[in-house]
Amino acid sequence: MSLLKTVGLGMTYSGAPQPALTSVNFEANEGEFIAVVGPSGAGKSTFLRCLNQLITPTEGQLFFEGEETTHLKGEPLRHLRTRIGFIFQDYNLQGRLSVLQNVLTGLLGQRPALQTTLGIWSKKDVEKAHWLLRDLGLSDQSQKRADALSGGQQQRVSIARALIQSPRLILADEPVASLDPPTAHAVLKDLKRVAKEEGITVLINLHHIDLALEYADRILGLRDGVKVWDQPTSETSESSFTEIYGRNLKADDLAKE
Amino acid sequence: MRKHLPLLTFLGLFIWASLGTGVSLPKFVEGLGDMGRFVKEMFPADFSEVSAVWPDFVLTLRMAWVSTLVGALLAYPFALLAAGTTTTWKSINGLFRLLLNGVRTVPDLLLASLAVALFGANPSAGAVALTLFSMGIIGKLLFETLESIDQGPLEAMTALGAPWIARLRYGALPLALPQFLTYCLYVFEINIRVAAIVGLVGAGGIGVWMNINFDLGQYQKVAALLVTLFLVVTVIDAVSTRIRKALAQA
Ligand SMILES: Nc1ncnc2c1ncn2[C@@H]1O[C@H](COP(=O)(O)OP(=O)(O)O)[C@@H](O)[C@H]1O
Ligand SMILES: [Mg+2]
Repeated sequence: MSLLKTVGLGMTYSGAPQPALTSVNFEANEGEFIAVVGPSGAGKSTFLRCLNQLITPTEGQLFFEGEETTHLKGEPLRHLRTRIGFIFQDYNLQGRLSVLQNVLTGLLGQRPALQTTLGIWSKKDVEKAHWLLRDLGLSDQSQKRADALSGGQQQRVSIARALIQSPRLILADEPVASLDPPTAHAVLKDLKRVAKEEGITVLINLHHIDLALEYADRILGLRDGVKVWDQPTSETSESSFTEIYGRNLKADDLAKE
Repeated sequence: MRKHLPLLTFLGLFIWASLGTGVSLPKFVEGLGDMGRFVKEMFPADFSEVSAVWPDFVLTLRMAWVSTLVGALLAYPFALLAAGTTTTWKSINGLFRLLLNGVRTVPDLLLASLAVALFGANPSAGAVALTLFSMGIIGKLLFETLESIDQGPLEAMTALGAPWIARLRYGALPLALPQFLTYCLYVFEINIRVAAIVGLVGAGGIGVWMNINFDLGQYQKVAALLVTLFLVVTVIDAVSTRIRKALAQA
């Protein structure tokens, strides 16, 4: 079943001479793990940020669960965002708060503001947070300050923060770009595992093609803000990547690891 | 030439500024002479009445403390609404920045005189003046802190649909709180001195006694009050600096 759809999605930043994204038609089904690849500046981040409207697209339409969400503002937009997790390259945790509290912040959009502002969380929510941390191998870190953790651990905390939202969709913008290769693989494996267990759709920006090939069910290739192709991973070939990178980057990319 | 530009600018501004004040070296030396005579008349300091006016010392401290707290409480919402990171509504930002700047434009003695005119010559006038004074400084410092905090956590809060108040509480507050407490202590240190000064225009506290003794030509008593104030301020500064250092490491 279709979860997310874009029709003619376009984005031109104010003052920019050219659009960062042009007429992207795209559809994601429930439970798919989809990688978005393309060289730096191809529009991957712009695409992802348009989907939860961290950036307001200037063209086209957005649909979520079959309903148009293009022009949502205020409360309805906030409500939409509670069902979409977002994972950032630099984790964007609140370093001064504990790991457990960081996970709980994932619920800020779904619990009464008065209660959360006073720092009151239900026993059930706290248990869920602990459960997620245990599932991601972080149970003995829960009381530490988030900024005391390693990069890989911090990114797992941010995954737990997204999961506690009980999202239908997770958007991940270069989630492993700041991690060393073994850690990157471990974090991606975890992300894919939990997403499959919960039936969550994942859209993930990756500039390492080998990572995309290893983990994604489907790959979307972008270049200069345009969708060049959109194929199941098994159907991609070396020429697909040459097409978007303009050179045989796949071999180089694999050699780096 | 380019390398020396900051220094030359500084010197230029210094000369320009000092010409405006009409201070020259000979005049300054002459002034020192007057000062010397004045200081001589202060000796030996006469501490006989210090214990009698001690309650007014305590009153000055209380004025400084309560004004800092109330000023800080008022400053907080102003700063949150003035900073573009915490409030994304541009016209609200502009309005509250203007208000914060406005408060700081009024000199503290003028604030005190206005408060005395409104509330009469008593400590509450001093407290009101000091509260506004504190709010101006803390608001400005906190606003600048909020403008420069890491945007990452706030962006994450927006992305997961957190309401405004929750964004502030979890996105901005943990980053700004240690700084905020530091500013409060710093302003408290300033406020003790200012609380003594506003007494000069009758707004309560130890400054009132300084003014009275000064007018009566009792310079030795003025000296005793100054020395006592100096000791009090030194002790409080030392304690406060310690706490601020600890906060900086938090
Ligand atoms: N905030 C912005 N303002 C103006 N231009 C931007 C902004 N963010 C990105 N761009 C431009 O949009 C294009 C796409 O950028 P981005 O989506 O970040 O690509 P990617 O994530 O694939 O590297 C680039 O040309 C970039 O310079
Ligand atoms: Mg990017």
